[in-house]
Amino acid sequence: MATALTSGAVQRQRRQPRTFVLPAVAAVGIAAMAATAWTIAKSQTLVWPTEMAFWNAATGLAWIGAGIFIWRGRPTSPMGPLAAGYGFAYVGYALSASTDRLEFTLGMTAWAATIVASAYVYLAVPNGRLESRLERWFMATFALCAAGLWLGILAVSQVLPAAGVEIECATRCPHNAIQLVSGHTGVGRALATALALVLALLAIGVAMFVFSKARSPSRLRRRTMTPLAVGVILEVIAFVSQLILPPVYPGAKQAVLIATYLAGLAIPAALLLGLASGRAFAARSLGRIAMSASETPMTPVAVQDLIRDALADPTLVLALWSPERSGYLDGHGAPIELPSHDDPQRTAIRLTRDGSPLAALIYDPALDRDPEFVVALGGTTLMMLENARLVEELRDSRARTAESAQRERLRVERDLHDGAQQRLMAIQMKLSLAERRASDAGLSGRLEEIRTETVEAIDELRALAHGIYPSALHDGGLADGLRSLAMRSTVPISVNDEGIGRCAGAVELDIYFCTMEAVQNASRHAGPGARIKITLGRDPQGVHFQIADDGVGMDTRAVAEGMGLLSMRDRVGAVGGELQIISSPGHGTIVRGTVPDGGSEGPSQADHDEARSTARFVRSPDAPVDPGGAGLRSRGTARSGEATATPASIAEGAR
Amino acid sequence: VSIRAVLGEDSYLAREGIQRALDEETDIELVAICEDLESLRAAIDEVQPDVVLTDIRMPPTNTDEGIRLAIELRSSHPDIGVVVLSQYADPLYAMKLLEASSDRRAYLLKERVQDHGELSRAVSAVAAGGSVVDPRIVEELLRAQRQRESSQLDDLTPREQEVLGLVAEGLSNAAIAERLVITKRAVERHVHAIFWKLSLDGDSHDVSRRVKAALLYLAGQAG
Repeated sequence: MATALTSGAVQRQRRQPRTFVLPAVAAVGIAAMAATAWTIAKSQTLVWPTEMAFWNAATGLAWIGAGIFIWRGRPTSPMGPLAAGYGFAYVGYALSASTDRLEFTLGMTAWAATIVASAYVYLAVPNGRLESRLERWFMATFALCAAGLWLGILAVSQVLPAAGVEIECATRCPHNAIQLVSGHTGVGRALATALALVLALLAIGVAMFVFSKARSPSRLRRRTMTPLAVGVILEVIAFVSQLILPPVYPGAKQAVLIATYLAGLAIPAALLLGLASGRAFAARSLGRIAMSASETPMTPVAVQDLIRDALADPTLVLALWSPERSGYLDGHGAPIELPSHDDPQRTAIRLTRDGSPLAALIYDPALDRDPEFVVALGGTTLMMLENARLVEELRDSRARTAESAQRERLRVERDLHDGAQQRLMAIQMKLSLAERRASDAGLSGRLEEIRTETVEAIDELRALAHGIYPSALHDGGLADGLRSLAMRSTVPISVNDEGIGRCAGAVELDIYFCTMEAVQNASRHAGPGARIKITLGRDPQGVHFQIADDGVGMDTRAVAEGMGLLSMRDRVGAVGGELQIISSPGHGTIVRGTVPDGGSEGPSQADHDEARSTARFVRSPDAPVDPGGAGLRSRGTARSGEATATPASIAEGAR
Repeated sequence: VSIRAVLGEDSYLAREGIQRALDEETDIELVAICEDLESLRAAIDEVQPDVVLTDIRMPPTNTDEGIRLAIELRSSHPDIGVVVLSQYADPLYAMKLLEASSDRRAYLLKERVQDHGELSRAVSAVAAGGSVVDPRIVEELLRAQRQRESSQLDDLTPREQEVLGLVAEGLSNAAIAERLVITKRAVERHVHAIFWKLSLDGDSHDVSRRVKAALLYLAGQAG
């Protein structure tokens, strides 16, 4: 069903009808309608030949014109040829103006066929074909009933049933030319009544179908169908009333005739109006997508929501290509099939990058009426997906940076503890031994001095290592790390950890340092007597932390990004989290953050091994160097394929 | 009778130093030296020492093995004393070590090993049922407490000091009430007053408050 849509050169090659086809159709249409009008106007049987000639030609021309217009805009859709062809059916009315019995009989048959054809045309809007099995079944059933009844009438009736008010010839109408049996006037009349009933039901059924389409969840479809629904309902009222009213109130005939023709003329106009309105809506939607694309954090699901929103089509699906499964997945990761070529309800456009599939948009074929729009929509979608990919890569890259920073810190901390600190301790022990064995009191005093200095160096080294990666944080997680922080704080701190357990090492480290920064701020600025309350928690969104003090507060706008707020934000941002600072003078300060939980296993065993192996390296320089960072490398490789991808193109649709 | 001790320490340099320091002590006999948690556990079961000397960080996980072992031994071998030799001056480890009770537990920084018999004093203390906390740890706590502009141990009444001493011994409120022949409610009142005066009332863990109070008391005794 989808149009062949591609970007660039291929797009210009889309199947336009040959240049002479549309003008030729227009010319033939005008000629045919002129001839029809002339024939009808000369009629000796019709009661109002001039009016009929005018209205018939006008309606026929309206349909042909609308058909040509749609044909030009949607060259691949059958809707245009269908509408134009239906216009030509009005030629048949010329025969019903004839005094010849056979011509008149054929003309009346054409009238009945045109009624059925109009039902088909209305049901086929907007895509030129029947969309559901129900519609096809409905159409076939009524067409067969009508045909059967008409053949019955032709066989038994001497006088063909009055064609409503449209072909009003009083008693001057020629008789049925192909009557096979006579003497069954009652049967003929019954068949005629049945036919009127069937046609009335057909009209009502069509109106219901069109009305239900006009209530589609897709706003584009609603826009397209609503004018038609109004027109069809008007026409049905007119049609049914012309079947019912004239026999009862013969005087109303002319009024009913005019109403019927006005309603008939309104249909092609409504068709064009709906299509134009849909087109305008689509153009506005594209603008809206482009506008809001910059405001929303981009993920494939967000992109889909954005397009759905802008097109007001909740049924639209953005399917992502999965190279592993060689198929498309929907937003929830479930496999999804692209609609088949002849699915009248859904169509797809495939988006590719460097010739390989990237995603597909599955949408209402009503959009196909405007190929430029679909190409632009595809381009916008690709742009947003690229954007989402870049955002995701940036996030991954920040996460990897945070992870590697965490590993480095751990390694340095271990190096200091297991390398330098142990050596200093050994030196200190040897000095102590030497001190005790020294016979010379002066030497012993010197040695003690050196030993004291060594102990001070150990102390400094320990403080340094603690600042790099507090061992309580590494061994016991955030709860222990922050309790240790609280114990040594100059401001009373209570810690409520709600048993959150372990998080990813980088997450723990960054929350710890962010909390430390907040605590330092509080002890500096909260004022005397302030207390701090640290609360930790965890839910499906991630790990939450809050540092609240009951101090003097501050004007958050005035301090803006000072006071280490920027570095706190950076720390939390590095692990994909968000930070919020709530404060006002006199009401304390609350620093609150949420970090998506990268995993609950805590620093892995590999971290220890890695840190240990490097620590050994420090102690014996000839040991092999730990390669390290294996996890990092494999992730880098996994992404590199995408990272090299360049210009995007929109490839052939699902046809 | 000499004190029988086993040592768990994965660093060669530290092992050497500790061994040498204990060699000079005639009343402490080092009967086993282990390099990781598993062999240390096995040695404890085998030789039934009076005192275990242990590093905090050891294989297999190189995190807080020493502290966990000390907590384990509290129930599996209640009579064994434990001296944790640490490279960390973080009061949290000391607090965890003393959380259940401070009986038979000592927390010493490693550089103290050669300090004029500091190590042998700690070994003797835990063997006798006592408790030692490295002055550096207490200093760490006191420094923070001092800057909190609030009163310290001096502000406690004699009765409160007495109660705090018993808290430091690891006694529960009920046991303290029995010892002092007062009601449990009276003990609770004293304990709350102590926490308040030591600015410990903000802490949500009752156990950690008790341990901190104990550490401060021990520091006061040491000073």
